[in-house]
Amino acid sequence: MIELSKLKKVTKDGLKYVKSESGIIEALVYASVNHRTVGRIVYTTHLPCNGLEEPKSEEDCGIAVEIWFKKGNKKLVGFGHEPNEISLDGVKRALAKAKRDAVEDPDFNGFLKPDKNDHSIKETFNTNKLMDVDFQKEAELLAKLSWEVIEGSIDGLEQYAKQKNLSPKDLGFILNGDNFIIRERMALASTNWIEDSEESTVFLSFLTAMLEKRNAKGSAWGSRIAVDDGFSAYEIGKKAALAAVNAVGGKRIVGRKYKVVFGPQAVTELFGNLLLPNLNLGMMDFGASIFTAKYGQNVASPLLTVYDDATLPGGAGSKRITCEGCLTGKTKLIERGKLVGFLSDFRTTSKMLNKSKESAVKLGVDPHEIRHAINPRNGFRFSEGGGRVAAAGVGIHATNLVIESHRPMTEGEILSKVGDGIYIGRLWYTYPVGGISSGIISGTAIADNYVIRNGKLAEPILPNTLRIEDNIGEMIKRIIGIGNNQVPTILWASDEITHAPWVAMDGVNFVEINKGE
Amino acid sequence: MRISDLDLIKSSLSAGLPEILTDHNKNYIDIRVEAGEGVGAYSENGSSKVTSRDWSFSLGVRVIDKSGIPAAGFYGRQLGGNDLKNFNKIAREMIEVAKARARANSLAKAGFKKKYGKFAESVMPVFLAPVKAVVDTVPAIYEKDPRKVTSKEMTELAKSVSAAALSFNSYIKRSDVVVSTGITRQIFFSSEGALIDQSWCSSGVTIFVLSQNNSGDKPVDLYHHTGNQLGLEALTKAKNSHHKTGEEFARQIAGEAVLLADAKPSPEINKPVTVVLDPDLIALFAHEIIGHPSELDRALKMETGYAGRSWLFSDLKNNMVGKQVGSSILTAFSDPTLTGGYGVYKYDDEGTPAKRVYHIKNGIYHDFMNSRQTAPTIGAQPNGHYKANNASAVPLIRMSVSAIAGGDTLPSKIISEVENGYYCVGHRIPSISESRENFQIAPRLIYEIKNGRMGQVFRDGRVTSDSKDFFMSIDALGNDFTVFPIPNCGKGQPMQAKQVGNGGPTARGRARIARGD
Repeated sequence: MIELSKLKKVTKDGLKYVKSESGIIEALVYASVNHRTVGRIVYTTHLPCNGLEEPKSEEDCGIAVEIWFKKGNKKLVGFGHEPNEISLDGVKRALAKAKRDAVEDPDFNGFLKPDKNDHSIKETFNTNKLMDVDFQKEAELLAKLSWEVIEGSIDGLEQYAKQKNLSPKDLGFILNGDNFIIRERMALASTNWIEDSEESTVFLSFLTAMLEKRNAKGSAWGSRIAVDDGFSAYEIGKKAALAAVNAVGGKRIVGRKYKVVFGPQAVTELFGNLLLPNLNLGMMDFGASIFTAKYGQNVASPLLTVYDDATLPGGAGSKRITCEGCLTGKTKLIERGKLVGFLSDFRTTSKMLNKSKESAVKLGVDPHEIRHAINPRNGFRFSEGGGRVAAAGVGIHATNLVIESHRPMTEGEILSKVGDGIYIGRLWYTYPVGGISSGIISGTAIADNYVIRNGKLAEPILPNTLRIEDNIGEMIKRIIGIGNNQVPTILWASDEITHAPWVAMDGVNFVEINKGE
Repeated sequence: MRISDLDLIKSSLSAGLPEILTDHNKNYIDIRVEAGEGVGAYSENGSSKVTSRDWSFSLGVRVIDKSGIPAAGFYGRQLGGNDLKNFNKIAREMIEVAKARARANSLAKAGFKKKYGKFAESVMPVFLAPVKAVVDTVPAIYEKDPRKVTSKEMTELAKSVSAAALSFNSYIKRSDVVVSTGITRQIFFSSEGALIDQSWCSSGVTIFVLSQNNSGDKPVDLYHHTGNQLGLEALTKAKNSHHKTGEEFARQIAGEAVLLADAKPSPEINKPVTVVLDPDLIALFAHEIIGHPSELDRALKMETGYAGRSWLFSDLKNNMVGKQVGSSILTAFSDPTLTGGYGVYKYDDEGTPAKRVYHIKNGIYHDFMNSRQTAPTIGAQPNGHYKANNASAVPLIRMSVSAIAGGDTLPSKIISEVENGYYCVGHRIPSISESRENFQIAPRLIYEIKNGRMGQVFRDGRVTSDSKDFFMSIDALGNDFTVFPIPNCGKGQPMQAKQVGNGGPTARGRARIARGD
């Protein structure tokens, strides 16, 4: 990978060049390199397969130049990008594009202007152990890890197969998922005293195992900042297979309202996919958030606290600076049920502050009174399924989303609280089907689901037989328990890592589906 | 960088083909090179936000190594303008990396085979079904060449489309618009002698609106997209499936949002009721519940963890091929040669000629979309559906233009025959079950039908059913078959959001309606 020192030099030299252009009011030069490596696992015992489908990678690098400049009596803002070129020539070409494509944005009034003292913090939250692995070692590592996952899953199955006297073909076993390594480096320099850089790595593993002929499905996953950070590919494979074995014998249950314990994957789907967009200041500005005009109000059970924390030590989503150059931090979103903050980037925060009358209607309070709650700590250029990509504009993204309670409960206490109900381990394709502003959601319960009887996990529920039909805005008011068992969890195509505990809710509506099966 | 620069690469690779692609191990190697030029603009409430005119250049290499048991490795990269002159060197380096990955995979696969006996019987060598190595050139079709569209022209277009929605009615509080036009050229080379040079255009507009009535009731957020695989005439001359210019399309969506702002939430209909679906909505049904489960990689469990499986295929013996899955009037297919939306091509990303695949003929399930690697597993011929977002990504089995075939009944007659039912127009975000065996798809508008006449409109309801029950209930198909563009069909890890086409006529069947509040 291109060295961080090269990115730092090109942004520093590039900014000097850009500043020398006439008419420049403010400017920012950003450079990045990203490397995404994936081992795609497709192992089946009843169908021909390849085991490890292919070790693969995608790479990008480039320079972005953003300028705010005077042209005649107009102030224009422009963005230009030059791919696969980390040099002053690349900066010059990106600058030319930014000037050519610049527009007059009435809401734009400059790039991030941090307090100069902010940049005294140099602590990094990541290791760079994976950063400079060469291609040969990487190929061998990926092949080794992927086949170890498969071996672990087979060893996890063996006892069940022997017990039931089943051949591999009779098991109808599926193991699917991947090992995913993201390596990213970025540097930026702006006319507003920012000159900074960061590099990080994250290793993600996500597996789905299924005994298809028994309609039993389970999952296992892990997220780490390095492969040797307590990670065992073999154990994850084994865990996935055992989760599938535990789900054998699943039964249908009727559709109705249940007391539900959602497991970490399901919590990630509900809070990361569905609740989080409503806590984005951009969505508040658009006007479609279910929290429109509700700042400071009680919007959820007092048991619920939600925040984003990019400074979480060891957190797979941790970052020290944003892609605008802002120091990251902990952004409280919901505290003991009260709406107390939003994720934002600098452009959106400034726009809300500048249009304070209009924003007060959208937020429910004058934004100048809640500057702390709309701090632009989440402006990132996440794109392409992982990485901080120069070609992408800044968007508002979470990093480590944390769900917790000031009265956390053990798993046993949560199950006791529910008494009789259901445990939903994994939801699928859960979307705001009635539009964001309605809060209406739907998705299906596909794996790791159990009946809860007398405060204990009982028999498994057949996958793909229940569809959740409810309203996310109402569901968070019906939370009756939150666990102390946060697990770093990822979702397909999501940017953030959700640190998800068990969450119990009352009166969650499910419909029985797929009755013709 | 211009797409015409690929001429240099084409001639250089043609001349250097034996040197670059010949491998002493006789490994299979293919190379995809892709370049694009385009311009896009974003406007909010009629004001400029950002405009960007840029190009892209990417390269992807697949190698199948036979050192142990044949297995694949892949390497993809975004390239820069300076990489043109060093292309052969870069291609050689990338081939070496892909070879290292394939070799590590191949050796590990052989080791696994040796160690795991019966559990390794299903692990097979990678084998590509033979296709004729084609040499061909396919030009892009356009009137208004995207390369000649200026940034200013696109900025003004975005602003005027956004303003058209905003000024439609005072209920419209927000109107965000993204417009784009581009041209892409791809060259595919293989060690089997294929040399395919294909180009295509794509132009589209996505509109997001928020409406709210004067009583301050719950707002309505709607979005929709139109476009075509043409030049900018797709938007300026209404050459798209909606037969509307960008401004006219914006007014249509704004009009729907205004109508819904005063509408009551949809009632809940717990038992199947007659629903008439307009072509825009049925096209999404063709995509979600026929197209997706007809992708052979899903059927072969290769997407169990992410995109899901297929209810049409359990294993080689137990599947729906040759069985009734819908009413006798239901015929559905995927056809990359069908124009009108996106997803049109002559050859897929491994050089297989594209052809129409019938999924369902007169209610009987027939065939899946496949790739050269997957086709032999079910004894099929490759049918040209292996596609990637760009050359740096591994192709996956993707829809081209998936559609339900038209009937011969006038849509007005289909509605007039309904005593009690609902007419459902357009679509929003759907939620589909894991094997696509059940769905919940939200129309934008749901009109009551009483005694053959349209009644009041409802908001936020969803049409929901088990897929087979719905297909079996289809009793009328209109003579208004239309193809629509879908801009962002997601699949793969990292996620690839791809443009595809979908189509269908007005259709009548039976489904449940989920409550709109």
